[in-house]
Amino acid sequence: MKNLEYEKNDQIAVVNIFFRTENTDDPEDRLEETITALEKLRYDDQTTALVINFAGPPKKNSQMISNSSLPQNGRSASGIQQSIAPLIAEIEIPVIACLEGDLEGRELEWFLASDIRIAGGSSCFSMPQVSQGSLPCEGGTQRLTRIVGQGKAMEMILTGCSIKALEAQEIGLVNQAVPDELVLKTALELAETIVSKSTISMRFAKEAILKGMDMTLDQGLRLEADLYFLMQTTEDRKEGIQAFQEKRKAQFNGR
Amino acid sequence: MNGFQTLTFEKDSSIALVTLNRPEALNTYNIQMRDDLFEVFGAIRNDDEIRVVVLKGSGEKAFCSGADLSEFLSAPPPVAARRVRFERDVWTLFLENPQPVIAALHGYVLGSGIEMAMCCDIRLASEDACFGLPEVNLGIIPAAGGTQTLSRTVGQSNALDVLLTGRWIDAGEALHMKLINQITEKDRLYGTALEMARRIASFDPLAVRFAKQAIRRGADLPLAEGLLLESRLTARLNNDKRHSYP
Repeated sequence: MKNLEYEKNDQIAVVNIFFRTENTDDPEDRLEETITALEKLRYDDQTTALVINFAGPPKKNSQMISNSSLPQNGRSASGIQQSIAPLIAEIEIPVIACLEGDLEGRELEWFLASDIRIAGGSSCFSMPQVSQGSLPCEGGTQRLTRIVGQGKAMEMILTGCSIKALEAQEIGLVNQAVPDELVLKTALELAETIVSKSTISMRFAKEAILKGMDMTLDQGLRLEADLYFLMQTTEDRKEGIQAFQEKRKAQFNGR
Repeated sequence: MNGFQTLTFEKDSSIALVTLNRPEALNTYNIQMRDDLFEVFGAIRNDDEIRVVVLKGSGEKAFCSGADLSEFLSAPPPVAARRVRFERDVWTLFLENPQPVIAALHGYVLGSGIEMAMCCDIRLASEDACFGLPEVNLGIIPAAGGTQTLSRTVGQSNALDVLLTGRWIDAGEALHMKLINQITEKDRLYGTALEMARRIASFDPLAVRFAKQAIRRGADLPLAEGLLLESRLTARLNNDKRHSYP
């Protein structure tokens, strides 16, 4: 499977979403492969951070596939629902998305389902579905609003206008805009920081933030406390505190 | 109210000043500090003379550099610890304090320190302040509300970034993320906080309390119910004024 790679003792998985590719490639096949790769990751305990690379490795004769060649409205030509965003959102480990190039419509919705987003300085972002008589259908109306706020989400979705990387950083659509050639490197460095920590605290912190956002503050505080006290039963917590007191680097085992 | 081991409490007419006071330990938060804060905020909420609270840290280096880890490995078993967490729920006491609380932040504002600050209503910081939630480096997660208050203060993306990487941010980035409201020069930090406190204290105290309540409680409500809450509070305020100033 060419769009799933592992790095660093299998702890970091990289999924390449080839939206730039040889024009002989069948977009439907690539979609199937991406879905299989993401589904496989859900049951993979070895992997503790995922990088989704929206540019893919540079290829000869590569070109952007046009938006129209991708299945529209979340349905493939065969009429089967092919949603990627929910698969990304359901992953329990931290998900870093990185992008070199431009992103629009459905792929932007996939990008928004990740946790930390890095883009190249020359990237542009747009949600053109409404201007094409359609609607975002993979959570774009919900996630974009939660990430950049109502005003900016309305503007992007209703006008379909594109924004540049710096503005995307300003409004929180991306966490970091870096020089184009450093995109994947930056994402992998972040992933390495993340896999050096306890995967349990990573999963719990992510769960507390994402699930807590949809709760009242009081309920969210309860969720956090429950996860915190559950954490007290783990070897990782003991190791983390001991290592700090002994002024050494902690060796977490995820138990 | 005096004789606290870990903090000092002063009252200057309508302004209460709470100072974390373990400078030799970078004002780390320990069980004693929890009990002292629980007591002092329990008293503040019932003191109608107090209109605004200012919270700061003593010493040059830190507002509060986190929890005192020396107490961590001797913590009671999870079930008992969880019960105590909600019996002495100092964070909810902070969040539901009827008067506004202004945090004046300098130096290290880490772990429980930043979480305490996020339970306040307005955050001012000096140029030297640095912020972080290093819990994940220790194989734990925040437990003083950080996973909830951070995302509500700086948004989901920034919260995931700061929390999952455990990285520190400086005052400039904190301002940009809207983690803090304002940056001041270090020697003007307390003065600025006091100035702001005096301004708020000069307003109708009930209007101030209701405004805080409308924002805090409204944040957890659907818009229609938030608007209803606002109009109910307005009606109560007008009603109160008719009776107070005939």
